[in-house]
Amino acid sequence: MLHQFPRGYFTLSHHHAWLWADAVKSDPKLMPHPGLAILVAFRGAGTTIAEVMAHIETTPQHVQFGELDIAFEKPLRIGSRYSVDLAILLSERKTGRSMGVFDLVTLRYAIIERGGDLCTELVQRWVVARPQGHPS
Amino acid sequence: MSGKRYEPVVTRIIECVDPEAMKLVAALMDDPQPIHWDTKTVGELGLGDHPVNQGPIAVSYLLDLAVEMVGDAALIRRFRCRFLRNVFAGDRVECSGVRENRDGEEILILVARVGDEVVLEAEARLRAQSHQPL
Repeated sequence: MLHQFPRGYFTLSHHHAWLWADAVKSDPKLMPHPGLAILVAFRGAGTTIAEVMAHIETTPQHVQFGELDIAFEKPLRIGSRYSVDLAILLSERKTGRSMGVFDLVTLRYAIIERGGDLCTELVQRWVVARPQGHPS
Repeated sequence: MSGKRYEPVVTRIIECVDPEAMKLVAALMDDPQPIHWDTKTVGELGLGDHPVNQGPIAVSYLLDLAVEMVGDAALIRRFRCRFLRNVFAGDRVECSGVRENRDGEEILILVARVGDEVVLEAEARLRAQSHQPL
């Protein structure tokens, strides 16, 4: 593990679930939508997306989502408060024909229920362009 | 090893990706990426003049399809996806999925396309108790 961010917390409220379902054109009966795990991970982590980018010395314009792997252990519940642990697991330097130098950065979000059981785990890979002169 | 596939292919269509939904999701997620709402930045990056849809929105399109196919979100054990191309505001996204049995495990193979191009591909693995017909 390269870096562990401080633990954060997020309470999933009804309006989050409603607005998410509306934004992704989902059936309103599907609440909470399983995609809300992404919202809980991002909002509940003890740091913001912008701070994660700053930590790896990049900016939003240089970051793309590459892959996402979600393990659903238990369903999310509206009204529940979750703790979220975020870690940077790996950063691999690569070179591509079209993109040039870039890093594949692997992050792991663990969404944990009150009581300590793992609810959902998300492992995400960011593709981070490294224009010449950027740090490794 | 290829698995046994069950027809039919199930589809879900987003007729027009909505830029207002991107702004909402950016606010909900506290997402600082300007390409989802600022067309000036999109243009400066050489990506055209339409905002780029967030990955989590596109993931949710496929998760919706997966739930439709199995009837219950709780049956989805794992969901893995790869982002292959940007989706832009105004795009028509066609999602499709097939269910197969691979070595005794129920799996959904899901793709999202814009025109003929695959923009997102995913695999959903199901919990063992799911034996519902499509």
